[in-house]
Amino acid sequence: MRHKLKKALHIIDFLIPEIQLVKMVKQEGFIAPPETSEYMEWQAQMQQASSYPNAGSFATGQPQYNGQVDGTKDLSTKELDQLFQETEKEINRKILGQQPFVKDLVASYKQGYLTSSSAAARNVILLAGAAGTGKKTALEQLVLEMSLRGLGSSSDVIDIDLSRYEEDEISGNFIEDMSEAFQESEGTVLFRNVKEADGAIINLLGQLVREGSFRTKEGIRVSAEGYYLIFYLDEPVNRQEAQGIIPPALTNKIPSSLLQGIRAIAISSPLDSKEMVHIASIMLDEAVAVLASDMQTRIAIDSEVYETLAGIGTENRTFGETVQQWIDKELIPVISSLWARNDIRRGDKLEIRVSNGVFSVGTRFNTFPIKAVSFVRQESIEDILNELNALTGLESVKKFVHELMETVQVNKLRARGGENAVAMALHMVFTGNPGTGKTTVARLVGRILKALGLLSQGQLIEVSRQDLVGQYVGSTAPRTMAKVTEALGGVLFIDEAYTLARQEHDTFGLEAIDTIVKAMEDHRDNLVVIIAGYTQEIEVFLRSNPGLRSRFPFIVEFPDYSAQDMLEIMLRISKANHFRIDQEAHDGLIELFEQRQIPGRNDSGNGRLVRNLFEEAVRKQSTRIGGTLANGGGDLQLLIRDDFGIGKKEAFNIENELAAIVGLDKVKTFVRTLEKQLIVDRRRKEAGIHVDTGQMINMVFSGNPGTGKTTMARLLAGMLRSMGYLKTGHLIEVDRSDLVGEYVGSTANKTKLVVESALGGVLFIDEAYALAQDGVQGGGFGKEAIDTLVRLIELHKNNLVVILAGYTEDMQRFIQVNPGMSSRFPLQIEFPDYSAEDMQRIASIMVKARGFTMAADVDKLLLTYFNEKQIPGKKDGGNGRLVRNTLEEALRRQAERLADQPDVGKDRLNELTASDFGIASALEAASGRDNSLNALDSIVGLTSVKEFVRSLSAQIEVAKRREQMGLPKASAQSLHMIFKGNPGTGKTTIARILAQRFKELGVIKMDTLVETDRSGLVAGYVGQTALKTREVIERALGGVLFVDEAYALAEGDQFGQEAIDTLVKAMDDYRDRLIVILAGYDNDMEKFLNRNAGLRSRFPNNITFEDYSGEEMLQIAYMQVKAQGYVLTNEAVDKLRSILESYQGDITAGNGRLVRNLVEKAIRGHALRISQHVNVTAEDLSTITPEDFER
Amino acid sequence: MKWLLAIVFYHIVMIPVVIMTILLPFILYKDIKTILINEVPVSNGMDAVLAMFSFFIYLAVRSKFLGKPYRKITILLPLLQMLIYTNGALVIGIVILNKWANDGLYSKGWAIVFACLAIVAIRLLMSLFYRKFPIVQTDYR
Repeated sequence: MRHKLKKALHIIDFLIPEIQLVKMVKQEGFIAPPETSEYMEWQAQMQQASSYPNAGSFATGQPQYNGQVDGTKDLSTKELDQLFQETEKEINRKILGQQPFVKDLVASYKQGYLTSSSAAARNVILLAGAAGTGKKTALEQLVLEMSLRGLGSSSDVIDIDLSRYEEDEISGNFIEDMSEAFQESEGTVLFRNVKEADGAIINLLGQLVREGSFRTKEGIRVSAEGYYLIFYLDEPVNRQEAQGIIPPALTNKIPSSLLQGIRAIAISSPLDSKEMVHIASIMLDEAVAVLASDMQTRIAIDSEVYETLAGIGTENRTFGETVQQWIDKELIPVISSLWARNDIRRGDKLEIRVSNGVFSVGTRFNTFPIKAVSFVRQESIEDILNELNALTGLESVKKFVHELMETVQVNKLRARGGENAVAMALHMVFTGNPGTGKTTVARLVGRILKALGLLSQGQLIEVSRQDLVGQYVGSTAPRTMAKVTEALGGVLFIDEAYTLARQEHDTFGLEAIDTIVKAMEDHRDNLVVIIAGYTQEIEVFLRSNPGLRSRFPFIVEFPDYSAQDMLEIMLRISKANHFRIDQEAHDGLIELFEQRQIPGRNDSGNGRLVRNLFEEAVRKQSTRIGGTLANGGGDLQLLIRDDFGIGKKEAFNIENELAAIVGLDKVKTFVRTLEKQLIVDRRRKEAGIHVDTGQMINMVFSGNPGTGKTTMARLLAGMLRSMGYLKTGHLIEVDRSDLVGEYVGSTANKTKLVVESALGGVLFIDEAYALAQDGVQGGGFGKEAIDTLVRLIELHKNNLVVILAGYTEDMQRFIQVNPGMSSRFPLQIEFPDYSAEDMQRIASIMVKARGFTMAADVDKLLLTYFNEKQIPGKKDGGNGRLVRNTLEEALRRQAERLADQPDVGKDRLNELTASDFGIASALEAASGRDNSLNALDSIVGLTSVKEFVRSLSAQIEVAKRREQMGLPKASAQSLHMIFKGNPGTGKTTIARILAQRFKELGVIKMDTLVETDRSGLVAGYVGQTALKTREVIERALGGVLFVDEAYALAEGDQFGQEAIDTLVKAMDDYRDRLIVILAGYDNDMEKFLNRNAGLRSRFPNNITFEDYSGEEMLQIAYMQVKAQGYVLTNEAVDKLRSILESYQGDITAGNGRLVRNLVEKAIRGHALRISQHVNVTAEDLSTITPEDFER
Repeated sequence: MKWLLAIVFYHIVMIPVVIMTILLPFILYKDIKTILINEVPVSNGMDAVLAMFSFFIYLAVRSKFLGKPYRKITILLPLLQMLIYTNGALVIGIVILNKWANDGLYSKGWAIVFACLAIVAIRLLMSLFYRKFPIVQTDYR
């Protein structure tokens, strides 16, 4: 009747869908709560995502009470007692050896009925005991029996595994499952893995336990009213300890908020072996009975099987679980697969036996072992260890893995014995260069740990920075977590881990690190994190998070492979590829590997280097064989020396190399000694004597620019490589800017990078002294670079040659800056300036190298040309560069010349003549050699001066002639002079003429006259004067330095004195290439010389410039007027004379400049006068009259 | 801005649409009655009106943004949907009746039978639809 009514209702429901609207109003109300729509969508998603099969009816967000009848009947206490007694008996029939436990359990349930209060849960029970002792079975049995007896409506236990919920699942899946579990009016809910649950879950559960219900933020209410809450713990506990209280061993396994709410406790006791045998037999018989009926066979079980199984169970302390697992994972799959293959047929008689600890199932004809058949082959530790031992080298790593295994195994034994196992974090750090097998070993470690049972899967998830770090802030942690989740049960291998902490401000990297650190802690027992990277960078990385280092108890250093190891690897690679390597090539290969493997450089490649070499060899072999293939020749599988590029090394001929270098004998000698040492070394090696002749051959090259320092360094690098001292022999050329950073702290890094790039070769630091020149402004960066350099030089002393280059004096000062510097640069080689002969030879070599020829006479002319140009001590002399510039200019001139002469013969198109070098013209200029004497003659007056100049030049000339005749050379004459006289008496003019004359005589090489005075020598700050003066002196080198008003240097302060001191020293240093002339007024100069005692002796030539007499001045005026094309009338001359007389007695009288001024004034006056007249003759225009002087 | 546009171009129209949709069955019923009693065709263009209403309601159902105010009343949109189907059935009924009253294609009796059949068929289709996609989960246990 009711059924029919229901059906009719359904039909009405169907026909009038509008009824659904009414239901909707009933369920959700008329007005929707805020954001209902999104909430509903979310719920719809949840329903789809939920794995629970009967989650479909959950749609409203409120637990639904279907109005089922409350299971509790009104029973008298007596009836209740009886029912529970029956239940207990029933359970004890099924669960063996756990009478006290069952009693506790039943009592706690009964307690729930007696103290049934409103709102709260019926009872909160802690169910503990060793795994496999039947706790869960007992509970399930109890619930079933109770429902059979009408004591409860539901017959099954709802099992919630709290560790399954991630943090972000709490408001979703967890609440979903909870409301699902608690939607009935009564029941039993079992929570397991409480320890691993998230804190928020524990809070909610705590609330549930204490208050009987909780409500989430989303408004979902979960009420445990009428429910039994069971907390389940697989933890062996001594029952005796638990007399009504929770044993202390358990208290720390359960969060305290839950602990307070627990009202009853039931602890299962461990089973003894006899009970275990019984249990095993029950379980096994039951399973076998099912199997037998399914397969229609008869299965007998040997009694020994029970005992063995029970023995394993008690030994592992997992009891029943072991048996169940064995049945589920081994027995049933094996037998069913045998049946599926028809190895077992219907009606067969089977027997399950055990012998020597191996289970087997036997038919009449065959015996099959019972061992888990798995698609994933279970690896034994031996397999993996064999694989590990097969790895070449890596002794320290192997030792580490063995130690690790021992530790783990002993720990396991300890755990089995019931002792406290030491919980171990197994996170590791692998440091070492690329190609040293870190990834391979990491993979092996993962598998070993799995084989040891420490990891459930043993997979290796290899990640690097880009896998962990997200694109925007906040996306990193989920991304990292995803990788961690993927690696759970295995190994998370973070390659190049240091990239995560490159900079301090890298929030992404730090976020990833923090996430990993957290995950390492959370999944300590199921995740091993291995980080790998270069040794030093990893150090930095471990420092980035204070918790990191302590979390990685194992730090393993992977050493670089030795050459022998690499040979072994090479042999193995070739064998794997079915190649053979010629026995003869082995020694050569070892040498090759030794050469390629540079300690301290982390790009040497190691294993990868071997592979690359092998592949290269295969390529070379193909080309070698390719030609002979047609004739059927050539062993396709054989790699010989040539394929590896060994044996091509030609004997290094040092003399050949050195012959190409002009000059630099000192350097050549050094290289020769080095070579000899190496030859002796080789002889010793052949004789079997081992000595260590390793030495520092760092050098300081000092010398002027263009003296071939860089070229020499490059050659030296090549030579050292050919001699086997260096491995790559490349030259890294740097200067201050390459070593010094922009801000504090970057210098050391920059320097380190440079040094590392130079390892195996030569580091050439040009202008090295600049590193020590920064003073206050430089911020000490240069110093930092030097300090770093010194340390690195020491560190890589066997693989690096450092050459410092710079000007001689600067370098000497530089070497003294750092006390460690001079000792580390034992070889200080001075590059002298090239002599003119050297330069001429260089020029001819260069000309030849460029494919040109030189005309026959050019050689000699070039020699004289260079002789003139090259002034020792002058830094910008140019040396080699001068030769190049000269040559290039000559080439340009030649092109100009040839372009103008289209009919030049073919053979002369590449000929460079003297005129191309511009030498011929220079010679012509020299031919008019007495020019300067003529100029001297043209000077008015100054007869005494003229005489002196003449005598001086005569003296020099004679000395030269004597030299040419081979007569003893008179001691070098000091030519420094002092010119005394009033202003305008022609001192500068005479000095200029003297410079020219000296050049003609060959005393100095240039006719430059550097004119300076106090202001040009003295600077504003202490210490600067010397520099300034030195600069001026250097400019004047090879010429004449003319210091006007020199007496001013002695006036007042110490700056002048400093200038004088510098000057005097320079005069001594450059005696043969500098002539100094001091000029000043007669009296002042006297005073000046008197004050500085040493000066007078240094300036032996004292020339006094007399004032001009009136007549001489008139003559000067006459000459000046004439030079400008004017004529003086007689009257004008008289006028001028009278003017000059009026100046008599004045200091400016007798002064050339006075005359010049007067004449110029007269010319201006003349112009003014003439401009007022319209008609003037040419004569008027050039005649100066007395009135012109008067204006 | 988005809101302003929605109010001006959508919600202003939508409010009369809601009211009209609810009233429409009665109007249509009156029309049917008129046709049957007076035997005179009624041409009210209700089909076009209905199409327009359907479009607006479709927008409200389809777009979360446009339908937001109407979802405040939980049953409004499902109700309107059902009304549209019912109205559709009635309009088709009117069309069939008009064919008789206007063109005389068949007799009055047949016209009434056809119209009823059409209406019932559409209603049944609607029932099927709501059985397949119920708006509330109904426990049939």
